Amino acid sequence: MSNPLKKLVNLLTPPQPLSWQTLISLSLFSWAFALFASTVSDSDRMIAPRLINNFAFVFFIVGFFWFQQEKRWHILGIKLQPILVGLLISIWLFKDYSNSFELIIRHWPIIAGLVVIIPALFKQFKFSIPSPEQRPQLIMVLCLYLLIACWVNFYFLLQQWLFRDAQDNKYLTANLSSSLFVVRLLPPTLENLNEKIILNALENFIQNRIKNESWETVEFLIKNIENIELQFRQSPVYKFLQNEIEESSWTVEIEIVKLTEVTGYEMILSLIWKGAEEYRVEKRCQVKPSNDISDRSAKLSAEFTCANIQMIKGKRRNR
Amino acid sequence: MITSIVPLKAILFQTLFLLVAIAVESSFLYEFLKYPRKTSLDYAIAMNLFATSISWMLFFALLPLIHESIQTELMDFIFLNQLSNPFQILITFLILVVFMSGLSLKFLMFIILQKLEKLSLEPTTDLYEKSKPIFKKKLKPKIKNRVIIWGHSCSHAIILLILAIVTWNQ
Repeated sequence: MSNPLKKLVNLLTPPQPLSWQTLISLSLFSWAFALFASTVSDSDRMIAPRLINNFAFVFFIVGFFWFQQEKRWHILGIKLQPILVGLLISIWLFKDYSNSFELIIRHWPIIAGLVVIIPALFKQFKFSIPSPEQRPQLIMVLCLYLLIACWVNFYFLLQQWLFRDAQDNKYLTANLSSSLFVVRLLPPTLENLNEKIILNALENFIQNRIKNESWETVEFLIKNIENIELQFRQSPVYKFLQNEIEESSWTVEIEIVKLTEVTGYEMILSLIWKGAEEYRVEKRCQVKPSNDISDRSAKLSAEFTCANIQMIKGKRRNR
Repeated sequence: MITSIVPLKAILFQTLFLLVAIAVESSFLYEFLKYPRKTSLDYAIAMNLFATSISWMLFFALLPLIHESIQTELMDFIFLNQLSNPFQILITFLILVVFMSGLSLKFLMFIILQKLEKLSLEPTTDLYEKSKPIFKKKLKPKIKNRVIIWGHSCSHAIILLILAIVTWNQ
């Protein structure tokens, strides 16, 4: 047996049946099982692996909480327990959503605050009011986490405002040094903001085109995607972008990949930059029929969702 | 979509203002209400943090109700520090609203803290209460309210002064 593995086994050997080591080992065991279950059944719609996975998460969170209860980690006198446990719970709750990163970060401080408050209200698994000296401190901690949550929320609100629509993207490239609220940590060129703006404008354009159309119309539009490309090139937004982003040596392309009946189409919005070195940036979007079971009389409409931007340097793919 | 445009200045300013307000208000509580040092500091911290976080939440809740043109004005102000003329009057009005709502939130927290101090699950014997000397009158609640108002006004005056100095050249 190799040395680090031996150490790990030593660390995780429970001193008594009821201890955090048991829970952590249980979670590792469950994860191994979930992995095994997901390899056996290739469909990711299977409920068993997901269920086991969730159990593993719960075991791990409780085990980690317990471990931190016995051996607290500190940085500059700040207890790391609620922060780390809050992050774990937040990941566990929101990992399956499409915009999971944002949801996890948004809910992290609030959950961390609850991790402080809830154990303080119980003594030996019985509800009890904390001591009078503790009470104002608990309120202080809760309010502090609430304030941090508000700051995080404010950050995401600003991001929404920045990308609200194509014409109003002036803030993204503007000089923000006179602002009393925000700072730009990276220069716009490092962030590839131009790519984001253009592809975002294209996404909005398609979204507006598809919105309120029946699924048949949407399919028809997709089959004649060159028309949409053309319309976009003639749109005021595109003219605005051409003027605004002066290195006007770029074009947009839309590529369609047909998937199954359920998953609909995949749309690859790509931006080709013909500078000193040619490169391509892609955004993958899904167009699928929205299965609104609530009213069958209504026409089947389309659902349009996009993933984040991917950078593909250099090569141009064959079309 | 995420950029590196972060409200860092807002966070730093708010932290500074919170520190100023806590320092001023805790000294008011200590000086005029004769609370112990630690209690007055605890109270000031809890009241200020509560007022700021609830004000933020009210802002987030009310934002969708605001008319779109005013929202764009707000965006101009936040990102570019540009204020159109009618908006300047609105800002003065808003400062008043923030002042009043902050004050009422602080009163609310003060009441909660005082209630929490006495709270207990066990039935209390009134022996201790009765054994208190009669002549040592309790401070009237009116005086407490007045001290909170003084502290709040004083801290906000200092914050306004700091803001005026910061924006002097712009």
